[in-house]
Amino acid sequence: MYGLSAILNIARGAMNANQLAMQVISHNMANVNTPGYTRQKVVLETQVPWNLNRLKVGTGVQVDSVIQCFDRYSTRAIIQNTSSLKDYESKALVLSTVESLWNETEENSLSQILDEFWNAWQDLASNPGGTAERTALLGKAEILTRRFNSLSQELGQIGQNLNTNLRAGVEEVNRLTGQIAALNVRIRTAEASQTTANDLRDQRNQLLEELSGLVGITYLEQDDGSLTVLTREGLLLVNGNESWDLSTEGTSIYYNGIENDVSDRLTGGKMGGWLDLRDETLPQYLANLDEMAGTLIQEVNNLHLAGYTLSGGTGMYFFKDFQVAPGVPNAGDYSGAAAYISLSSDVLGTPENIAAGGISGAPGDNGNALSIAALQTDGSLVIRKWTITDRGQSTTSNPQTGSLYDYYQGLIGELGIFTEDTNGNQDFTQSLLDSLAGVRDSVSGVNLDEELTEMMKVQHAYEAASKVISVVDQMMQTLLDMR
Amino acid sequence: MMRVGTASIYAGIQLRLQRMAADLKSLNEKIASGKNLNRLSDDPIALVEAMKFKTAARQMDQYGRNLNTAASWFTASESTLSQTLDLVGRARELAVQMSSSSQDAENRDAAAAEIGDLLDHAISLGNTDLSGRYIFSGFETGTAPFTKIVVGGVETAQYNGDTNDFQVQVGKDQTLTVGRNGQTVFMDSGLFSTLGGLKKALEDDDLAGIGTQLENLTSVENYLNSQIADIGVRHNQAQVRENILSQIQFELKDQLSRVEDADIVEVMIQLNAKQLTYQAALAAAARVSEMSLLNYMD
Repeated sequence: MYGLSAILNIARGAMNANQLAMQVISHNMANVNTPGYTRQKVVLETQVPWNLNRLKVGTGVQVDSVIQCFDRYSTRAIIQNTSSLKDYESKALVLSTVESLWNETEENSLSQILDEFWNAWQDLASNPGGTAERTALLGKAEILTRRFNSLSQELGQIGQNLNTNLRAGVEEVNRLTGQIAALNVRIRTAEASQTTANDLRDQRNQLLEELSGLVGITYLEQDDGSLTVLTREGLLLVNGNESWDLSTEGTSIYYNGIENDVSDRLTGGKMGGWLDLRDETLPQYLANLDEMAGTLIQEVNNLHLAGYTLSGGTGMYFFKDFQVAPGVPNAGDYSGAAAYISLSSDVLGTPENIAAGGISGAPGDNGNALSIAALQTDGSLVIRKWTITDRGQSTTSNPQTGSLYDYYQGLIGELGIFTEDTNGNQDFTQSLLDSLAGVRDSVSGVNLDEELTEMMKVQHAYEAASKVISVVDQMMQTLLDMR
Repeated sequence: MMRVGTASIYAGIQLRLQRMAADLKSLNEKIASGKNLNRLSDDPIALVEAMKFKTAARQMDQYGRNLNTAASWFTASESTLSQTLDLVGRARELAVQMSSSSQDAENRDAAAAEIGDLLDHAISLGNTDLSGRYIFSGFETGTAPFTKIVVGGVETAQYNGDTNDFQVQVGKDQTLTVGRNGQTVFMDSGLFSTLGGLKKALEDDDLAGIGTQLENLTSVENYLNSQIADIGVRHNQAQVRENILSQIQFELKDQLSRVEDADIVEVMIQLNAKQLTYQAALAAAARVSEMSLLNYMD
């Protein structure tokens, strides 16, 4: 086909193509702020030329496809690093609460309370018969035991809050995997006709990114366009149109209703962070706090038992004695000691029963008070240092020789450095994600100025095509006007 | 050339402003609290240092308090013993006077009465207490250490305390004997029996006996002097220790301040610099958002 009507056809085709291009441009501009939106582009191509004898005559333009400007590499890297970022972020948030429990930068910190406890023993040594000194010592000891109790309780509370978070996280994972499976179906259907379902894919990637923020995942795209999603540890979450739910029961997380805890197969993301804290970090701090309280009970009681009260009695406990009973710390196992530590019934309310005396309990006998006060700086105590890893599967202890202070300062230093590291990792991962997002946006982000330029280009092409129509019209008129 | 998405320009602006705001907050916190360390993770190493300094400072405070107790014991012991020495001096004076054969029995009876008073006084000095605690009865601080008894017609005192010495802690693994028991300080000096014996000799006009007791008084004086010297040495040790402690205290506070306290001038300069950057960033953000092709299209 050639001639004037062919030209009209070319012009009409050009107008159609540019109109479509304009639609894509306006779609881009409209979604400039849509999270996860990938810039789209019209691919134009020439129509099949017309053979006119030995000539090949062009027949205009047509739209080949509307494609996404999508960078697979940076998208995958973003999804992986989102898991790391959310992992660090959730840890940093909880650790900031944990470090504020140990308010060592403030007044009334545990170390100050400990100092005052030992100083009260020294005051008693300066006046072993004094009722005021004895009463003051009991007061300081009670403040100390309550601090241990409340630290233990608050660490436990943080663990419980994490369980609440985890339950909400599981719900969220189920919602996301369900939606991804649903989108798999729609994408598969839409792409059956050899086109790409751009906007549906954007939605699915957005869900994938959200999911990776909750738990570390890997994914692969099948030939039919559907996505298979697994946790990093290989739990299958989505395949084609199917998704498998997680559920919670107490502190356990079940997969597909099977009553077998899979929490150790969830790493990365917020949930991975929470699980690490719940099963490693918090139990470790609690175990070491218990160790400290247990050592205090053991050492003070040992000396106290041998001392003499004001009335000459002996064999009195200062702290409530360990008992062999389930759930109660004993001489060999201090777990739970921080929650357990309290004054014994021997001395509670009976300050005369504090065994300040070393040989008789005479009102001037301060021998035992001096010995107990000297525990403060006794660097020969052997205290177990616990390390809990592998989500609580591996619990090891390592005896350390030193004073209670050395031990406690070690704990505080460790917590501080862990928090500092986590914050640092969070900042680093955030920067990495920012630059990855920059890389992704350099391919798929919408730039308004660019779209406006494209718009002018398309507008001019459209105007030119309409100009062609009016010229052809004139040419036809000329033809018809011939006589 | 790298393309830049419009949304990521704004996201970048937001992120950078947020980071700067976080820096401003932390500087502001330092100024408000006057401290560099406001949470464990600010600087864990420095924080543990600060904890060590604080605990050491509290220990030093306690040792200082113990030394205060010690000082009052030393002062009380010293003044008791020097009064006792004065009393022994008076007894010697009387004994010397009365050992002269020119003195008559009446004078010696009067002198014996005075020596009797001196013995009572010596016993009450031995029963010196510090806010209700007898300082010369060993651990039996609730029991008056000396009571007068008569043995074979001779007045003397018996010791009711024990033989323990009172100690306080003045440093790590360092104790100081603050109070010696009355057995060591008084009984072993023979003070009471000498005074009793002197009284008896005066009553009996026993010149030889007076002479013997005079000799005994000399050895009592020597003994008491050595006790005063002993207390003096330990009192001096305590004072030296106290000086050292206050020196250490000063050092500790200095070191703690260096670790913990914010250098306000420095922080203010940092704050000003950050403020400037923040304002510049805000201005730049406003300019960037003004720029658009739309401004030039009809």
